[in-house]
This record gives sequence, structure tokens and C-alpha cells, in this order.
Amino acid sequence: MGYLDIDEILSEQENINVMLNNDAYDLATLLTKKDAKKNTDMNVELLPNQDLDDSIHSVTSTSSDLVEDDEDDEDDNKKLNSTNIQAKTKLNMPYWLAKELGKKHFVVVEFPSWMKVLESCKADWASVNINSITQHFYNFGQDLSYYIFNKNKFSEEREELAERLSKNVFEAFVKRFPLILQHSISASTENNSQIVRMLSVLEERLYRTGQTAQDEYANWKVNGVGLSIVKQSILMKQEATTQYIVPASAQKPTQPVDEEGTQQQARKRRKNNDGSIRATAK
Amino acid sequence: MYGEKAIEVLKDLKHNESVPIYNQVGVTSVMQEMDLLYLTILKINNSEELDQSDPAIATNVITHYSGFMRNKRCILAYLYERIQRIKRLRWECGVTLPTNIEPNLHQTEKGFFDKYDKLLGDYGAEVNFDLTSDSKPPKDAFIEIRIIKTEGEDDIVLEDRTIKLKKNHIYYMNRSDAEMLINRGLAVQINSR
Repeated sequence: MGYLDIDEILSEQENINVMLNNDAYDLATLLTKKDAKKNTDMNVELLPNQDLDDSIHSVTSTSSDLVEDDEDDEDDNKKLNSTNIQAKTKLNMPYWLAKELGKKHFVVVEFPSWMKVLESCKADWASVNINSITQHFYNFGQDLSYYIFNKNKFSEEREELAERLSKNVFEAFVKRFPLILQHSISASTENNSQIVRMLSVLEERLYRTGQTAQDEYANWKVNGVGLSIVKQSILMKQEATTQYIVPASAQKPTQPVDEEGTQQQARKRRKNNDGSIRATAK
Repeated sequence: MYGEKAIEVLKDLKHNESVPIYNQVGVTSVMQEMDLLYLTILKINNSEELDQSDPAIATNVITHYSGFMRNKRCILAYLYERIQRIKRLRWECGVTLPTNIEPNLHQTEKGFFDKYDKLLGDYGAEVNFDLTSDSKPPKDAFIEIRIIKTEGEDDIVLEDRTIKLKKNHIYYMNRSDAEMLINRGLAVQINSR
């Protein structure tokens, strides 16, 4: 389910800061912010006469003078020099891209800025508006901490920070669970929209499950098993048998949309042919 | 940034509970982005001036490649989720699709629905039991229904007899016969008592 899970895909879309370990060829237009205004969309649709090479060339040559020339570049590609990104620049990119680049150690994936906020949240997890941190808090937090710990360490300090992040995320979930449980049970009677807004994606799923379970339980208590219901079904069976005994040719349709009418008719049918009333269970 | 259009396509699906209209425009634009990415990678690989072992070039190629795979993943997830919802429709709504959802399906998805329907039907015929008729265990063998419209044919064939149904009348009959009438849209179940 992981590869095709929509929530997981969306959680990997979170932006994250990275630092380049080496130069990046020809990616300035894509990854650096200041080019955003000048950047002609890479997803440009080809005009009928346009060659693909031309369109790529036109995109890359509208780069800014922001990045410095890379000294190792060959003279042939002087035009594209300015689109390279130098090593040690800090970039902001979606997490899925950072993951791939980090696997080959081309970047150092940095911890998000809200890591420090977590320390102050420890006081009272239940009241934290996790949506303000990120909607995919649990997925993203856990994945990031495992990823940095296993594939992108670079230093012992980072190892420790990754472990701490993992523990914090876990603790947050454990502390907030009673809150979710309590509010999902009272969902039918109270207006919990304020609380729901503070929940992350995973928590909201739990909340909805709890809510539906509670509704089904209430429904079951009213309509489900119960002595009165059993008696009624016996009654209905008796009525049914009497109805079926009447031959098809002589059968008349029951009265339209009249609850009381049907009950009266049922009572009538309970009378035997000689007029005496058949005993019924009560 | 690559993959943003694909995410938009997925978000539309996430906000809608049942099957929304097939996003032909969205899917084609993502495929175009994938073509562009592929050609970019090809161009770099085939170029003789660029040093393939240089990490700078590798960073570039990996970026484009990840974008390509990301788009692929998003589109696959989109198609898969729609298929799952269509399967659920068959179990909930029976053999005919609800009329408000039918125009939302792509041609191939309609084909999928028909084939899935046939699969269930064949299985039911072999086992002599229709799995999809009662999703919840029935509490009673008989059920009350009200006829909301007649189809013009006067005699409806039920299990053991043929009867004539009249509009707005309440009938008390076998569960399986009643389900058949309900599925055809001729009757509604009355939840009384």
C-alpha cells in the first residue's frame, strides 16, 4: 500500500532544506528561488514547429546572474555556465527529491525548522495545533528521522537529533491519542470542528473511524438485538404466513401508505375463520 | 518544480469521496512533463562533451529522473484509487452504475466495471450464490416494501408466483424478491417498527 498510498505521496511533498555537497549542473532555474520570476515553465507545450532542443535551450539561457561561474566547466558550454549551482548552497526542495539526492550523498538533508518548536510542545501535546507544523506530521517526522539516521548521517550529532525527532513524534502520538479517542466518542453530541482542525492527517483518519464506530454502536443499540425486536420478528412471521396462505388469485393489495391501517389489517388477519382471535405472543 | 501537476491531480481525488470525473487534461499534462524529462535525460546521456562521472552532472540526471518516477507514482496511485472506488460501487450499487457517476468514468474504466461485474457473476453462478446481494446479515426472511413506480409490465415474476404491482402500495414479501425490485428502482424498503 505504501507506493500507491495517496497520503504517503502527499506527505513526501513537504518542502525541506538541503545543502549541496557538490556543484549541480544546470539546475539553477529549477531549484533556486530568485529565478522563479524569470523561469519559463519547464512544462511548456511544444509548438508545432519547435524542436525540443530549442525549447530546452531557451529555458536554460534565461537564467539569472545569481550563481557564479563554475570553474571546471568546459568552454563549449559557456552559455550554460551561469545555470549551474555551486557547492555548499542551501536549497529548498520537496522531500521526495531530497531523499533521492541524499541517497547518493549529493546533499545533506537538514532538519526542518519546526524541530526546535517540538521541545516547547512537550509541555502539553494535547493542545498543540499540529496542522500549523505540518499536516503530515507523523508520516513525515518518522520517515525523515529514519532516513537521516540510516542514509544521510554525516555526523554523530545528526544521528542523535534523528533519534530525538523519532522519539518526539512517537511521544506526541501517544499523548494525543486519548484526546482523539475522547472527542471521537462525543462527536455525535458535540461540535468538535475546533479540535478536528488541530489534527494531522493520520489523527483525523482515526477520529473519523472512531466516529463511525460510535454511530454504528448507537444504531445497534436501538435497532439491533433486543427482546422487543425478537418478538416483533415472530409477529411479522405470523403475518407473513397468513398472507402467503391466501391464494394468488384472491389476494388483494394492502392499503397504501398507512401504518395504522396495516397494523389493523394484521390484527384482523389474526382472527380465525370462525371469528375467534388467534393467540399471539406478547 | 516537477511533480506539482501530478499532486494537483491526486488532491482532486482525495477531496472527493466517490468517483469524480476523469481528469483527462491533468493526466495528459503530467505525461507530457514525463516526456520532456525523459528527453532531457537522454540528451545529457548522449552528449559527448559532458563528463558522465562528474557528480554535478549526476545530480542533474538524478533530479530529472526522480521527477519522472514521482510523476509515474502519482499517476499510478490516481488510477489505482479510482479502480478501488469503482470496485466498491459494484458491491454497493449492484449491476448498474448510478447515473450521476456513470459519465465520470473513462472508457477503459467502464470496461473494467463490466469485466469485474462479469467476474462476480460467473463466480456467483458457479457457487450458486450471489455474494453481493446481502451485505449485512438479514434479520428477517421477509421485508416490507413500497412500490414507487411500475415499469409498464403488469406482471412481475417473483420466486413462486407472478403478481401485479400497484404504485404506492405496501407489500410484504420475500427478501430476495424485494431486493430485486429495489435494485430495479421500482420499490423502496420501509424501515418500520
